[in-house]
Amino acid sequence: MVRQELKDRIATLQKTPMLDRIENMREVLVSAADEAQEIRRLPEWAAKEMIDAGLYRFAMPAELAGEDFLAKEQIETLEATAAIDGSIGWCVSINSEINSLVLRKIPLDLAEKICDDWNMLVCSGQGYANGPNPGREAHREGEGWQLTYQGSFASGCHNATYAMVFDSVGVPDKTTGETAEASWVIPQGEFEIIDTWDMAGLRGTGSHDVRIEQYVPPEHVLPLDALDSSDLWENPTYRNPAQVPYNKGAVGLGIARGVMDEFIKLATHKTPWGSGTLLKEQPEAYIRIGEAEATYQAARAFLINSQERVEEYLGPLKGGHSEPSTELAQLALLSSTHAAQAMRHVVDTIHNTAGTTASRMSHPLERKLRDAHQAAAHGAISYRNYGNVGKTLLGEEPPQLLTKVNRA
Amino acid sequence: MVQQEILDKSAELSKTPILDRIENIKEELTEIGNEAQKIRRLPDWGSNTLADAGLYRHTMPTELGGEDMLARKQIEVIEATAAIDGSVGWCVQINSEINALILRQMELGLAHEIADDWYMLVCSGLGSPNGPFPGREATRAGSGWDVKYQGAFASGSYNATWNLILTGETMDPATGKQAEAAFMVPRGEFEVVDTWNMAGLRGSGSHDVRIVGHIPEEHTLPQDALASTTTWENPTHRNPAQVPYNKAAVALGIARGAMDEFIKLATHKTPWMSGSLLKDQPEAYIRLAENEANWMAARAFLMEAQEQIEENLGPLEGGRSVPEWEFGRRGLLSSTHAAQACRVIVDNIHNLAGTTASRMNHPLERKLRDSHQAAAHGGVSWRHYGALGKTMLGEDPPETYRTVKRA
Repeated sequence: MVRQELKDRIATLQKTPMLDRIENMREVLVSAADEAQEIRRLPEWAAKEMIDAGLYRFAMPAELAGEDFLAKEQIETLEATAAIDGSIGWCVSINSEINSLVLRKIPLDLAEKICDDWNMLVCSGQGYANGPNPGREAHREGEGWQLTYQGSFASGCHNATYAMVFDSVGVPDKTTGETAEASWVIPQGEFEIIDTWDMAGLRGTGSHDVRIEQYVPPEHVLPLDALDSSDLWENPTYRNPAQVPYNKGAVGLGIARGVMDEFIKLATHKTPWGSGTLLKEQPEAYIRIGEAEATYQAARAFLINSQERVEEYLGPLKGGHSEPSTELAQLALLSSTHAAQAMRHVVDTIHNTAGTTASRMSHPLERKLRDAHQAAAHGAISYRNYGNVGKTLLGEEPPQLLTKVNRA
Repeated sequence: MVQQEILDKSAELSKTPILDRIENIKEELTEIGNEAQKIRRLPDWGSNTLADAGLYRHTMPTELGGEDMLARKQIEVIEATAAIDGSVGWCVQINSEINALILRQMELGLAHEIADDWYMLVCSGLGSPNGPFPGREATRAGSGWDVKYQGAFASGSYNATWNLILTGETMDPATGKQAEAAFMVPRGEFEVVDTWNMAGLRGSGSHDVRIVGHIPEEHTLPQDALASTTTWENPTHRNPAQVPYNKAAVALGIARGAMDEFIKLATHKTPWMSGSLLKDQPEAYIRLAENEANWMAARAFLMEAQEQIEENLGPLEGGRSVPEWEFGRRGLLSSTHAAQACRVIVDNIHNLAGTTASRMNHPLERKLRDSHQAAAHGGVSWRHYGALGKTMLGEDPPETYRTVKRA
């Protein structure tokens, strides 16, 4: 059981609306972000502050000391943090997401064990391993598994209490030669972090490789399809196949929001050299910011609206649907991809409109350009989805990614 | 007079086509680009390598040890170097440009004095100064001037043999108006103030320069130092779009380099969970081709517009001192277009490459930063679309479009 103490703590937090909680710790987040740029990960003190504000638990079920946010509130939360800093928003996005993804098919006693730690934070390194690595292989050993694994992009790994390895990354079972019929959670101390995240965009996310060469006992084993639609939790998030993409779309929105806000501050006092008038009074500037604002609002409305329609269709756990219709799944993925890609364009344009100032290492727009590009590069909202969804609009059978979560 | 040794050296260099010269030192240019990222300027040895390949003199008159290249060739040179590294290409363009700009109205004696140094490199910090500065004023003192000045964006400042201060950047306290002179300041008499800490074109060393000193009469230039020349045959010295097209050439080069890097990547990268090589993915090859077409179109427009200007200007004697506005506008519009279109191309190609493009050790990472900064220069800023657009709707072109006012 998750202790009452944790539930009480969440109940106390909930007296302050989430967006107010974020606003109240804005300076802390700015400071954390600056330090994260230097050390290429969130500092421990910052992850702890974010935990204490409920920034990793809000999508989790109330019975596990979460807040059971629906998609709209999740998106608003991610957007608000990413507007302050891309790497902070990214870590909120992906670690709050994995904290809930891990629960979709989890045995209840394991869920309670993991969640009964206020500092719970689950990471998952799923990408190709970088550099020399021990390979990927698992074989049954007694009731458990002997696992050898390395995967990249484990955002938040330095602050993680567990790392998750799930089936879709293709860990072969040495005995059968097929994909191992299990997923696994590995507690802190039993996975190793390999320093491989030296990136320009989302530099502060600590998305290094994680390596595991370890016996995993049966109590830490999850089913093969660990991320499939849940039949355990009421919140439709646990049945929405677009949960991963819309989280990424929300980070894109937040970065763009932050860029427009910074541009507005700049334009009211910058007179571009040789131009003779304030930037805000130059027609191209106010036309471009107007168009960018409209693009942002449209992308945001489409993203939120499509997820609400998915949730409405899914309905209650009992008597509802386990997955959305193909039409709604298309919309949910399309709106997520659109948000990330459209926001990359918005950031590119506004960065350009700000002139040389945006390239100064001390100006916030410098980091936000890098972050917007990296946020739009994630596979879940890659431009490739336009092709994947487009084919289904032209009559092809929907690919599995429309109806099934297979990555964080 | 420029020594015969320098003229011979330039003539010898000219026997190897300049694009071959660049190709022959590609590895050095790559290394220069990498070192420049760390020290935020071209290393001395790197700048000398560029000088030894004739990359700062190609626009200068042959009489001064230059190669008298026309716009097309200048653009090709700048593009080729910027395709290797943005900061290297930037320094090639702006220092070769200023090496030529200063000659427009310069007394021949001073021109020969400055050019009689194989490593001649003129920088010019024109922008608003960063941080505390000594003011910007020039007071007549005898036949010369006492000058206090600081200006930003002096690309190549650490490697410069001279610095140019333009009219319009200093006030004469005696008259309350702009000082009626521009100034040449030799190395040792200007100070480089470390202010260039930028993401884009990081290696260009575009720091502030500061001068507090006396400028003798022989180092002064006329007030309209960059006005159309009556001295040199090459129409470049009468083309008001010289500064913008150089910036555009850098952007073309960065975009070319980005597309070339993408092509290399796409032939071996299989994006995670996609199951096929990037090169086999329709969005990749469709977008690449569309961007290649946009790049080719921007390049063709830029070249065509400058060649039309050169044709319209004609020979020094009997030709025009300023191109007709129809051509002048095309020269400016094509420059802005190339810089802005190439910024969008690099944005798209960077996105197309996926996470790889964000790796600190991948060339696309730097090219994104560089293309944004190249497109931010005032000579090719998006603001020109508005200013030029007004002239299409009947307004008179601003005077700044008829004469060169800045590097």
